[in-house]
Amino acid sequence: MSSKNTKVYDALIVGSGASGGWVAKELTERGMRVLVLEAGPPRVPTRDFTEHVWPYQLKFRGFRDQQALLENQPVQRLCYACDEYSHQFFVNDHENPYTFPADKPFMWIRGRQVGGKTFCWARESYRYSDYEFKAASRDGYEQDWPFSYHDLEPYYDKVESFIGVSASREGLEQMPDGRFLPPMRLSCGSLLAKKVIEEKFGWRVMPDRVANLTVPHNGRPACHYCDECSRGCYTASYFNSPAVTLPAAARTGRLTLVSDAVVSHVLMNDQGKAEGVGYVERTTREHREARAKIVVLAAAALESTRILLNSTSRRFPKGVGNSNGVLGHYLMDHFTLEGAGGILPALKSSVREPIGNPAGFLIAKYVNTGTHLNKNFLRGYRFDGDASQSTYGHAFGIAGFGRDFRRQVRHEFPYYFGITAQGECVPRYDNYVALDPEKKDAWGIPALHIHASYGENEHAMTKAMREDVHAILDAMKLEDPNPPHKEISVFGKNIHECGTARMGTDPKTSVLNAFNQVHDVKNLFVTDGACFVTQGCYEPTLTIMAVSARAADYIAEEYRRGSL
Amino acid sequence: MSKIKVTAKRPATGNSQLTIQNSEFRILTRREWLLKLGEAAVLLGFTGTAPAPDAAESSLFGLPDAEPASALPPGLYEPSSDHLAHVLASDSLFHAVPPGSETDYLRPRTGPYQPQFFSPSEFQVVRRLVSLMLGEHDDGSVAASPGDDHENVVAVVVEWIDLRVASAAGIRQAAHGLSPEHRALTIAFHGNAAAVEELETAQPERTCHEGLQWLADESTKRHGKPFLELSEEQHTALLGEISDARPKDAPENAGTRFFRFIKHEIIRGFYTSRAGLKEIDYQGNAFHAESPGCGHDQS
Repeated sequence: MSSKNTKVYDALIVGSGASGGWVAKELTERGMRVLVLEAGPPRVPTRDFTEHVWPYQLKFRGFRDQQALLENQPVQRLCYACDEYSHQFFVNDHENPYTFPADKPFMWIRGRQVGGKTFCWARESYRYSDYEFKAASRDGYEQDWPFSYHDLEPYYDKVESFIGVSASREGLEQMPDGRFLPPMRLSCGSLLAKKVIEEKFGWRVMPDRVANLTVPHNGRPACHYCDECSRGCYTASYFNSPAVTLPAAARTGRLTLVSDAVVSHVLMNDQGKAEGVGYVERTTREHREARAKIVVLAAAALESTRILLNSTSRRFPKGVGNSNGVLGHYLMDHFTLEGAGGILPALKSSVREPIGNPAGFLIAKYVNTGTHLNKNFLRGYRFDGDASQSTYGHAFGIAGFGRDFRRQVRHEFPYYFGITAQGECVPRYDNYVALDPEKKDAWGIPALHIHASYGENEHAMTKAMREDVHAILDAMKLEDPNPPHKEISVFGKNIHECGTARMGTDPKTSVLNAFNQVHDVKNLFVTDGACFVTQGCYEPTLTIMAVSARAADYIAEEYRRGSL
Repeated sequence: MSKIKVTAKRPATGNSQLTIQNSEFRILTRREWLLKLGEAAVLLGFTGTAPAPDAAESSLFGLPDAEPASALPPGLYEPSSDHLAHVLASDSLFHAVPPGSETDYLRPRTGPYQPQFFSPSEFQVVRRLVSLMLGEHDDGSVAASPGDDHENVVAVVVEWIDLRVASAAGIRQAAHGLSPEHRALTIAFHGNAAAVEELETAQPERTCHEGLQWLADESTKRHGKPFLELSEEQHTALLGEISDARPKDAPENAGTRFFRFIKHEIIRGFYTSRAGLKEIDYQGNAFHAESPGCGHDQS
C-alpha cells in the first residue's frame, strides 16, 4: 500500500552524511524548505556513544562478540572500526547484501544512520589540487574534472572554516594549505621519524590533518584527546554531520529530517524531470513517496548510483543519467600497503608517555610532483603512520608467569613505529557497479553487483611504494622490523570508493556537469563521492564536502532565478 | 606551553572545589581555568578510579547543559558535558544501557557468577591456576601492592576465561555459516586463510578439558592428591614444567598447551581489567587540555 505525501518541498536530499548535511545546511540557510531522507535510524548519544567506556565494562572486554559479528556483520567486521564499541554504526550485511565476481573480491563498508559514516570516519582532511583536478591534462590519461582547484578553493575555505580542521602549514603545491586550527603534536617516535625521513629523503613529515578541534570552534569544545572518535563524541569535537552541519540546517526552521526512509528510485514525470523519490519505510516496509522541485542524491558514492540505476522508465531504460552507458563506471578506491613497522630501540622506557592524539603523522605525496618523475606509473601515493608505546601487547612475548612476569611487563614498554602507503587508483571503465539481476536487499530493492580490480598502474606503483617503505624501515633502524604485507589491500577496504557517476563537460562520457547536475535531468543532482573523476591519493571527504557546498550554492542560485 | 596536571578532589563538605596545578606548581582556580580554555570540557586526568562528582559538579565543565532533546530532530545533537559527568561518575563495573538497545553491554548481575563452560570443580581449579599465574602475595591477593585488592581481579580474569571458552562453539558454528563469498572475501582481506581457519577450528574447550585432566593426573601421580590440595611448592614445580619459560627442547603435552592458552587469556583478561590497566600505568581514555605530545622540543 503506497501512501503519498503531497507536500512538495523546494529540495529533497537523499542521505544525511558528509555530503547531505552540507547541502541541507546551505540550502536551508538560503531560504529553501528542505526534506532530508535518511535510510537508517537516528543514533542516540546516551545509548550509542561509547567513548570513555572501559574494556572491563564490555562483555567481551573489547575483544568483540565474534559470533554476533560473524552472523550479522560478516563483511563489516573486517573493518578495523567495526568492533565491540562501535559495531552499531555499521550495517547489517544480511539486510544490505551485494555481490561481486569470485575473482574480484570487494569489501563494501557502510554506515546507515543519521550521520552516515561521519561517526566513524578517520577524519583525515586534505585538499585536492590541480594534480587531481587536472591530472589528465598533465599525463594524458582519461579526463580532467570540469573545474579546477581555483573554482573549488572558496568552498574548501568555507568548509574548513565551519567544521574546523587542525593542521600545520606546509606550503606544498600538491596538497594545499587551508583554513587551519593549530596542529596536533607528534609523539616522540613520530618526531624521530620526521627527523630521520626529512633528513634522509627530503619528504615532508607533518602532524596529520584531521577534522578534530584543537581549540574551541563555533560553539563546540576542543578535543580532549581520548582518541576514541569512532565510538561517538559527546563533546562534538570532531566533524560529524549530526552535531555540525545538520543542526545548522535545523536551526533555520526549514529542515525536515525523516529517518528510516530507504530510497529506492527517483520519481520522474513524463517531461523527463525529477519529481521526488520513492522510498520504503525501514521498519514497517511501507512504500511511500516524497516530492520536491529539486532532488539531490547524497547517499554515498555507490548508493546514489544504485538509486539512479534503479530509476528505470521508458525514457530511461538503463536508469536515469545513463543514456550514454557511463553510469556505474569508473569506480575507484585507494589501495594501501600495510603492516610495515617495528620497534624503536632508542625509545624503550619504563615511563609512560601521555597518549590520546586522534592523529598520527602524514608524509605528503612527493612522487610525480615537481621534479620527482617516475616513468613506471602515473600519479602517486602518500604515507601515514604513527609511533607509540606498547600498551600490553609486549606481554605476549615475555616468558614465564607470576609476579616476576608482571614486573617484566611493567618494567619496560617497547616503542612501536608503523607506516602505511596509500596509492591513487586510476579510473577505469571496467571497474563498475551494476544492479544485480537477482539479489535484492531487505526492502526489495535490487542489490549492487560490484566489479572492480586493480590494474597495471596500481601494481607498478605498488613496487615503488614497497621500495620506499623498506627504505624508511631501514633508515629508522628498527628492531625486529616487519616488512609490509605481500599483497595490497582488497578493493573497497579503504572505504574511499568514489566515481560511478562522474562529472564532465561532455554528456557522452560523463553523468554530471560541473555543478553536479545530471546532464539528462536539470533538477537532479548527485553531490557525493560518485561525482569524482579522479581520486588522488588523498582521502575524499573534505573534497566531497567542498563539492557539495559548491553544488548547493549553484542549486540555490538557480532556484532563486527559477531556472530549475 | 607548560604541561598541566589536573586532579579533581572529591568534595568533602559539598563545597565543590576543583583545583588545577600546572607544572610550575601555580594553582589555578576553576574560574581561571575555564576562562583560559573557553568552553573546553577537559579536566580530569586518569587516576585509575573515576571520582563521582555530585550534581553540583556536573556543570563544572563549563559547557552549557545539553539542550532538551526536543530542540533538535532525533539523531542530531549538541555538544554536551553531561556524558562526561556520567561516565566519570560511572564507578560501577557495568555500563548501564536501556534493555532492548542495539548496543549490547554487560548487564549487572544480581547473584554470584555461574560458570557457562567449566564445571564448579573445574572452575575452582582454573581459579587457582589464574591466581598462581598472576602471582600471589602472602595474603593470597594478586594486587599490585599487598592488601590493595579493591576488586577481585582473579574473579574478573577467570570469568573472562570461562566466557571465552563457552563462546567458542558458537563462533565455530557462525564461522562455518559464512557464505562462500564472505569466506572468500575474508581470505582476500587477510591475504591468507589462517584467520578464518582459526575461527572455524579453534577448540579451546578441548585444550582446557585435556589440560585440566593432565593437571589432575599429574597431581595424583606425583603427590597422591588433587591439584587443589597441593602445596605452594608443588604448584610452582608443576607449573614450571608446563610454563613457556621451560627449556626449548622440553616436549609439548596437554599441560603445555593448556598453559599457553590460559596465559594468553590471562594477559587479555588482566590487562583489560581496572587493576591491570592501573598496573601498566595505562594513559588512554583520558582527558587532556591540549594535544599530548613528546616531552621534547616540537619545533
